[in-house]
Amino acid sequence: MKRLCLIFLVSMLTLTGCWDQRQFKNIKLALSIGVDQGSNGEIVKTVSVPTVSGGGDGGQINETIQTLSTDGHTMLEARDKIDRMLAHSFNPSKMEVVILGEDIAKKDIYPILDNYYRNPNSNLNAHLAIAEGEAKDVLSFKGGGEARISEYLKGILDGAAAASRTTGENLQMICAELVEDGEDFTVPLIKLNEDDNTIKFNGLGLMSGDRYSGVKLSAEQAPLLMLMMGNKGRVAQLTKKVNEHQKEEILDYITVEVMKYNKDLKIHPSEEEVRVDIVLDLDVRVIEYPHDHLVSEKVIDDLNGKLKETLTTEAEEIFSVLQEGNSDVFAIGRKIQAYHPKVWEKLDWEEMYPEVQFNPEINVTIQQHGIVN
Amino acid sequence: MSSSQKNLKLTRRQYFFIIIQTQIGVGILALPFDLHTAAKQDGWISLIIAWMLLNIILVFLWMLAKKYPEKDYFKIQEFVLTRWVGKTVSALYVIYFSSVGILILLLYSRMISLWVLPNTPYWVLSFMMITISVYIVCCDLITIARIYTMFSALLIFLASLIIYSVKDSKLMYLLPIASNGWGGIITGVDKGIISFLGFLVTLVIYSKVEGSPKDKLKTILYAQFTVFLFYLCIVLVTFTFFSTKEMALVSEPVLYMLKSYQFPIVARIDLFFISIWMVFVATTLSSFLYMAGLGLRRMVNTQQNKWVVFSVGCLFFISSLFIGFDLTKLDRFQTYVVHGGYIFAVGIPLLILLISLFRKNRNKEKTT
Repeated sequence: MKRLCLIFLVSMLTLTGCWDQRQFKNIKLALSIGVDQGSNGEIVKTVSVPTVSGGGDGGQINETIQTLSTDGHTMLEARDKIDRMLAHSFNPSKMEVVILGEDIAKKDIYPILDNYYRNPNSNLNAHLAIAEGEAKDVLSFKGGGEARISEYLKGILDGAAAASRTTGENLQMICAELVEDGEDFTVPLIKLNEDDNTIKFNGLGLMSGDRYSGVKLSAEQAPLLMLMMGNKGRVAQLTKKVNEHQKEEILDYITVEVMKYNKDLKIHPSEEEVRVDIVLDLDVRVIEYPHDHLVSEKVIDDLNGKLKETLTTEAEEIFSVLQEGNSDVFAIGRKIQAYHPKVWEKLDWEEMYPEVQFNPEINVTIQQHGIVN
Repeated sequence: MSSSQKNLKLTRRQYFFIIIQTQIGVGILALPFDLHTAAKQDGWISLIIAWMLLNIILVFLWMLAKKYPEKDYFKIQEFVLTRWVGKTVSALYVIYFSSVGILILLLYSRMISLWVLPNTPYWVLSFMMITISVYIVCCDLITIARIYTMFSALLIFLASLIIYSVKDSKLMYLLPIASNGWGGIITGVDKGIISFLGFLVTLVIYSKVEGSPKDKLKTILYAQFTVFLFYLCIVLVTFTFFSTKEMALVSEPVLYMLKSYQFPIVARIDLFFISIWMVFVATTLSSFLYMAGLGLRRMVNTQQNKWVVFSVGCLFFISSLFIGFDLTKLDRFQTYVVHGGYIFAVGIPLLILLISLFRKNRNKEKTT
């Protein structure tokens, strides 16, 4: 009994006042955050905050979305200003998407993200995307069939990662590539289309060092880049032109799905020139090809050859775009530093990268052609 | 304390887990960062060298313990260094063990404040921790050993969480090897040895373990190897997960790494990791509390375990309040304590070993 009393006493003393409780009723969760460049050098921060009311006793649950925007010198100053407009305090610990406006992304992006890296209760598993235009417009978007803009954006980005269009990297994964020399990354681009009232994934923005280069790869080129990087999502689908001047335009094209892939990247560096050979072997399944006749070996060989040709040309285009943006997404520089440190010391990578010679070779083998020939 | 309980010796398995639990503690979160500041991406080489050196030290400690199989470390001191010198050295040891204990409390509270409970005052965090440790240590050594053995199952959780992160690691970040010369790697060895400093426990409780000296040495080396593997795993995973430059930014890389994952039920894995890690901190703290208590008991020749432990616990708590979250004081204190470790865990035991060799010869001469 004495012992029990003691336990109660100790519990009373230690378990009551909690300094660090964060009750859900006292906070507003910001699920998506947008950052834009203001006209006078300040940043403009936009947040979308859902408020859930009602519920209980079988009542209707009402959810209203507030989109608030303010300017500030730093991210946290802006948050503080938004706090003043909200009934409760603002909390980004369940943040899902961070969207940067195109203009601010062209500056060093680390200072904007610093507060998320620094504070332990932020969610580093959030997506980062760049809006073509203003992030504010994207976040103020209404429609799209989803109740919340955050959910819509997250759905778009998750879908793009599943379809091998983006790397699906979160804020934390990006950090390594952001601070390391000789290694860059891609950021999904989001575009608001006001005419048909949709938001769409519009390709990959190429980062160069710590800023957006302004050069982008289209959404159609993205899957091939991801395959070459070894970043296949759940599915990877390629639609390519393999015929010319058929009766109908649709007959010119073939759509294949990648079943298995194997990439091999070899770097041959020297002080004068750097050569990179990339061999990508794809085992594919034909999922659309209205011509039929996919039984004869000759037709299949022919298609393999045509696909190889088109994809290799496309890969060359991708590399020239990457070099135009000076974006070393294959981390060639870091690899040279790792495996050939002596060469690396003598290279000026910024200057050298656009001169690198890329020799892609994409081999395609059709393995399946669905349940009709 | 019934006499049957008191005379019960520890099994070698329990000995194994006591060593592991004492060594794996507050340091694992910061270990990769410390190695990285010293040796950049080659920190793992430093760790391997540190472990090799450590095996040699451990064999020396074992030789000392083997000579006096019935005496614990404090009794050996009294025997070898004569009574009063021995007692003085024991007193120094009590101070050393207490300082380590205080340091653990400070580092633990600081980490919890930084990562989980930013608004909770220092005394609450350290008070809860010291209460647990006092409660554990109030029992016999055999009970402590059983608790440690049980808690060791949690090591599997820690290891699997760390191994999970391997999926996003890039081996490239470990290369180039030894690009900054061997100077950094040698400085890193210092950090590596520090991370193993709890090894003195092998010597302190050696006499309370059953089995032949050879078997015990095996147990010691196996335990050391397990700890080493665990450390190496942490270091390699974090070094390959974070880029070389990024490592310089994050001082608790293990937590930071886990923070970027999300499982269906556990959204913040780092918090999950911290709560398991707390158990390991508690066991480390308990070991040092036990050793400080044992030293004090030997000094004043008393069998009053509970009161000694209670007062040492109070001492830990109250002295740590003088530093609290103060970063500069903590840093200075840490440097002293950590480097004092070399004197107490390596220097003095080796000195005692030397003197004991000399004494033995003299004794032999006398008998012949």
